Amino acid sequence: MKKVVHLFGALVSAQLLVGAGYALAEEKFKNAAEFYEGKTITVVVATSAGGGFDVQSRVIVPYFEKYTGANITVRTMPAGGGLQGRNYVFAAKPDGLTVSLVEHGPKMITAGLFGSRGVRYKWDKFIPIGKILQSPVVLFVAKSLKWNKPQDLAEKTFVHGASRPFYGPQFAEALGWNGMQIVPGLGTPERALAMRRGEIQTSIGGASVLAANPDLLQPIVGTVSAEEVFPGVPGVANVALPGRKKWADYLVAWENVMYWSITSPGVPAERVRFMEAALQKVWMDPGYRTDLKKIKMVLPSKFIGSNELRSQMDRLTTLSSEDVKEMEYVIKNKYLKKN
Amino acid sequence: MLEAFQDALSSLLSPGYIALFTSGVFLGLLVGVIPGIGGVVGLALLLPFTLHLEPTVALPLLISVVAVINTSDTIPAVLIGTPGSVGSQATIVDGYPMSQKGEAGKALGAAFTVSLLGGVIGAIILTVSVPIIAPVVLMLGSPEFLAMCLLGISMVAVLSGLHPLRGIIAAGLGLLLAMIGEDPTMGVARWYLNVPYLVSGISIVPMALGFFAIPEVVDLCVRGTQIAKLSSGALTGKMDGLREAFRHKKLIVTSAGIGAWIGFMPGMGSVIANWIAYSWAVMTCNPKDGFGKGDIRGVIAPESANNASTGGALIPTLAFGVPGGTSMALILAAFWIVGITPGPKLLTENLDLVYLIVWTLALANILGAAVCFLMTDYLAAVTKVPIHILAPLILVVVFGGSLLANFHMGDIVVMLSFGVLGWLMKHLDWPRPPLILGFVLSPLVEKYYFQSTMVYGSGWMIRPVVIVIFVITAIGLYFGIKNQRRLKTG
Repeated sequence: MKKVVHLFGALVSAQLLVGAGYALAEEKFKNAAEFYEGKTITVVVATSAGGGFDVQSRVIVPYFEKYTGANITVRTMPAGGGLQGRNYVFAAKPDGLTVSLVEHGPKMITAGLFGSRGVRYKWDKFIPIGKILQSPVVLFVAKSLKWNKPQDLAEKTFVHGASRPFYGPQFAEALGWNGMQIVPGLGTPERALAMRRGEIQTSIGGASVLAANPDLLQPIVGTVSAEEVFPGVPGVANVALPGRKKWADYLVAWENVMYWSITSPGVPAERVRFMEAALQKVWMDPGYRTDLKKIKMVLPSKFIGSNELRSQMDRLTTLSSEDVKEMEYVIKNKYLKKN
Repeated sequence: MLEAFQDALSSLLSPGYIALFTSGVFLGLLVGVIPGIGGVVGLALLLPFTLHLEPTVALPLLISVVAVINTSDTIPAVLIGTPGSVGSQATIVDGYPMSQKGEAGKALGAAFTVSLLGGVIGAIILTVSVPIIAPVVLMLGSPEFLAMCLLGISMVAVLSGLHPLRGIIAAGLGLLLAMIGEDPTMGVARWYLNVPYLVSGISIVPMALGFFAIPEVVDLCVRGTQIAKLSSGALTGKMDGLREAFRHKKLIVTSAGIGAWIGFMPGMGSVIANWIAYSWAVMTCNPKDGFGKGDIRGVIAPESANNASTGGALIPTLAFGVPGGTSMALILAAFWIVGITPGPKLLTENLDLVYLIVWTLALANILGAAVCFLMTDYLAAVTKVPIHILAPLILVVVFGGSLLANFHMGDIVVMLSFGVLGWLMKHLDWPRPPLILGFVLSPLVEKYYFQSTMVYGSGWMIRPVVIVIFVITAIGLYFGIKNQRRLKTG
């Protein structure tokens, strides 16, 4: 009997503790809401005014303002190829009033991983808030070549156009395309034109690129499968060669952290949770969904929260220094076209 | 086609169009007149608003902003020797000396007249080109663009005046300075002195503001006078400027053609069009000894070219969805936002919209130039304002404009450093234009050189269009050197 009383007592105590904890968390959440009311959040855009990331951020801003109750100012900080913006968010006061709503995750992480010059942040210390837009990346082949499947490129020598080598070499590693030769320095629209002139045979892009050049481009493999925008195009994980799955995993990881929202290290958890909840409300807002379609971006089928993004980051932090060196060599050098 | 033409005309008369078109023109004029803002910032601020507008009003709004920036950016260039936008740098070379001579009204009158004509010529070239340009665009690749850049660099020969060696050294310095930061192909950071700001290189806006404006302000402060040294009554000479403009019809048409062609080349834009048209004027006009000292032809050529360059830049944007420059990239983004896909389909499925854009471009140039022309007398009076009032205002504008590039203190450091360099070059009689030309062309030369050699090997040099451009370059160099010799002996 005594045992039962003790057990009952323990259960009640536990329940009370959980309840108290929940109430405390709710209180903190309420406090966070009160904190943001009327405050000014600085949204940092690490690219030039008018660039894709700027437009996407400005589309989110009115909704984020609505659901946080804060006033928002947008600051574009493009210097240093985005380093200025990232360094700024990293070093900002950890009060949750400095965020980057749409951040180029792969660029931020690889610059940190490869120890690029001018990086003054630790990429794994940023706090992810959530992700409410995406645009799956696919590899396009010139339609006239009639290479319809990833396997068709395996034995071929072909020129791949890129602004900077990044996705292309990783696709090549995952799919065994040893004949890929990369010509860098070609922006997205320039690549379509270079393909029309026959200077390049493959390139990387998203749904908007295909919409502009349906007669020219054949999407054959994506970082992930995205049936709504690229029906029938497989994700790289499904077609990667045996023993090369890690390259497919990298590509999936880049897709997951692309366009994520982050804030400075050290921001109190309840404020991160509050901003995450606000982002989730933005994700559900019908007006936001309409606006997103207009800028040819895709709404993730489910809201991607802070914890999910954190686990993605954790996976990348486990890479050994050999893995990082290999990744850097493959991305920057291995497939570069020699004169 | 006739139906599309009529649809475009009916859109022109809608109240929504008239309201937004007029707002766009006035906003563009404002953006152009304030140094440092530039079209890119103006467009970026407007872009989110287009989300909720119809294509027939959203696109004209943005086009009208871009169209007139190169009209009003002449005002600070001529009056205070400070480029309103990067596209008016060459105008300073003769426009500002005209102001110093008390001919600001004449310079502005001519500039606004040729801006109008250049803009309309650009719109006509756009209209004629869009349906037939596809084969030409496909014929031109990185080797041809590289050859055009080399042609641009050869203009140093005519921009160096009496000091060709100094000009070459200045151009070389410009080329080297532009190499600071990430290289345009692999993104490897060079010579950045461990300063993160420099990883993306030196921004041209604070550089140009410091390089041109600071030396003039310093000299004015030292002299303690007003800008116009001569107390003539020529401040109100806008009608003289208009008449002068019409005396140089051939120069207007050729400069506008050059502007449209340069605008058509990806990455070049009004900044290079401005300089090349100026060089063209120096190379082909006689007598030459007035250039650099306040020759009206040195205003007519660049001003005609920079307005025409917008029409040229719209050709690949509309026909292929390939932007000719940053402003055009934003126009492209606006197309996406309003649900229109630029490219070949646009010309068949939305021809009315294409005509509407052409009409807007032409009308915006007319309205923008007319407004500026009417205000010329008041604007020219700036040159009579005592320097103790004017200098602080100019400095506020220059410092503020510089900061707009990146909102970083590095912008101020760049502006002041180039201010010192510009002042030294001015007083040691070193030509400044070649440095700017080298600076703006350097990243393009590097990028197109690597692409050309990677794709074509050394064979890029024997492509037919490349050979033609090389021949033109050689002829230009020959005449440039010949002119210099004549100037020295004469």
